[in-house]
Amino acid sequence: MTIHIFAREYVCLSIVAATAAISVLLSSLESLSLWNHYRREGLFSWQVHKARHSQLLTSRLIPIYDMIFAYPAVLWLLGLRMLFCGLVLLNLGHRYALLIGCAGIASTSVLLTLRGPDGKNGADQMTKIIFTSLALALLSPHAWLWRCEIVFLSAQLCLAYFTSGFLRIQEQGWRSGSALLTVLRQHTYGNHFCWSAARAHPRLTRIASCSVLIFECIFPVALLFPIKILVIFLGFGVLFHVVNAAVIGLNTFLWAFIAVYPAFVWTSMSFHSWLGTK
Amino acid sequence: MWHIYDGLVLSFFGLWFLCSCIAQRRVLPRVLRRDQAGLIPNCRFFAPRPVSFDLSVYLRTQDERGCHSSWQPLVEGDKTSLCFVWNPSHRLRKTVYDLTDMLQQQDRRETWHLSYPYLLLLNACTTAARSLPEHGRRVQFVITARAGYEDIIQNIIFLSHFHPY
Repeated sequence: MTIHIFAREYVCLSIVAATAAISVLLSSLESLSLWNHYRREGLFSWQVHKARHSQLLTSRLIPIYDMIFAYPAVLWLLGLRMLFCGLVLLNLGHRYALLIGCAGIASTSVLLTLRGPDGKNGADQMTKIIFTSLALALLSPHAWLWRCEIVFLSAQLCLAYFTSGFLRIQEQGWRSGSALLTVLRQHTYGNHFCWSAARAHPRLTRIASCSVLIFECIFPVALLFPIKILVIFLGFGVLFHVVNAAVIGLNTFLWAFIAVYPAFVWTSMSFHSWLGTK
Repeated sequence: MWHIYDGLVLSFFGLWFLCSCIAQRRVLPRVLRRDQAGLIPNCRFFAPRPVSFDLSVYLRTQDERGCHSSWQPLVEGDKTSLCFVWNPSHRLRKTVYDLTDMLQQQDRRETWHLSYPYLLLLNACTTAARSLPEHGRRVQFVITARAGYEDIIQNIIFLSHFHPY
């Protein structure tokens, strides 16, 4: 095993995998708790899902799809994904076990996406990217591909924050804080206490909204920050996701996004060492 | 052998990231719309304009005499204080948003009732109708929008036909 030789890259990737596995585990448990919606007559019914594309209905693979996507087989698929999460969390030091775990999570996540919508969100999207790319990278014994994987994940994280921030900063509503109020007033994404407080303090709401926009827009530039400032900057990111989880209820986002932070720190440190700065 | 594999994976990562960047445009190229595995991310999260309304689905039944039951919510349960660790009902509400979005994207209004999101909602509403204490013969559902805590008035954005069950 070559782990001790490439310890830094491997440790970074295993921390990413472990943190993202918590998000997938939580997501799978939540889906399993909605088991009755996966039945033939439920909101996530495979019998209706498969009617969404004519190619799907006429596909030669439909008997196989029926076998793995219909109720109750889909619950086994979710259970299998949880087992792979366990494999990742308990075998961080073993490359092959970690590889099997990552490949398992990636393939079950892709299968569940093929099955059809069941309330998947941006966190599921991010974890799918993490585990698919991890499986591809960990198959190779070469540390340089692992480094490329770390840079790839950092780039995806930058893209996620920057896209969201860049699109929103152009809207007057987000800059003034009124769009944040609109989100907070909803039962689905908001919170009554926070909405009342935000309405009573429009200046604070504006500052909060602008802070998030600035954080997201300058995220790619943060790669250039000195490491101490970068840690404080990412601390703000953790706080942002904790608040999102507590107020909006986006609990899996917290784990899925902070999972990539170690990769971002690694990329920044490598960048600095390449530039000869600290 | 491994060097070829590494090169292929590296090229794949490059292509993947490029497609991810292109996919953030408003109009997706046709090839990216075929990404059934969902590997190309959509990073817009609430951008540029946030979701403005709470969407809900309600259903009612009609008996043989034409009498209607009261409207019942399809998805029950509000967010709890534990939502930062455990929030499964969010998946149901998110599904309602996704299906409403799909329904509104249907080009031909006269065939909405044959569309996939309509059938999925009807399927779930039919099941919910069977478990209602007031039994009927036909079921109808409605999708409403309201401004959350600000306004309790539910505006109808979609009303289905009655369907026998």
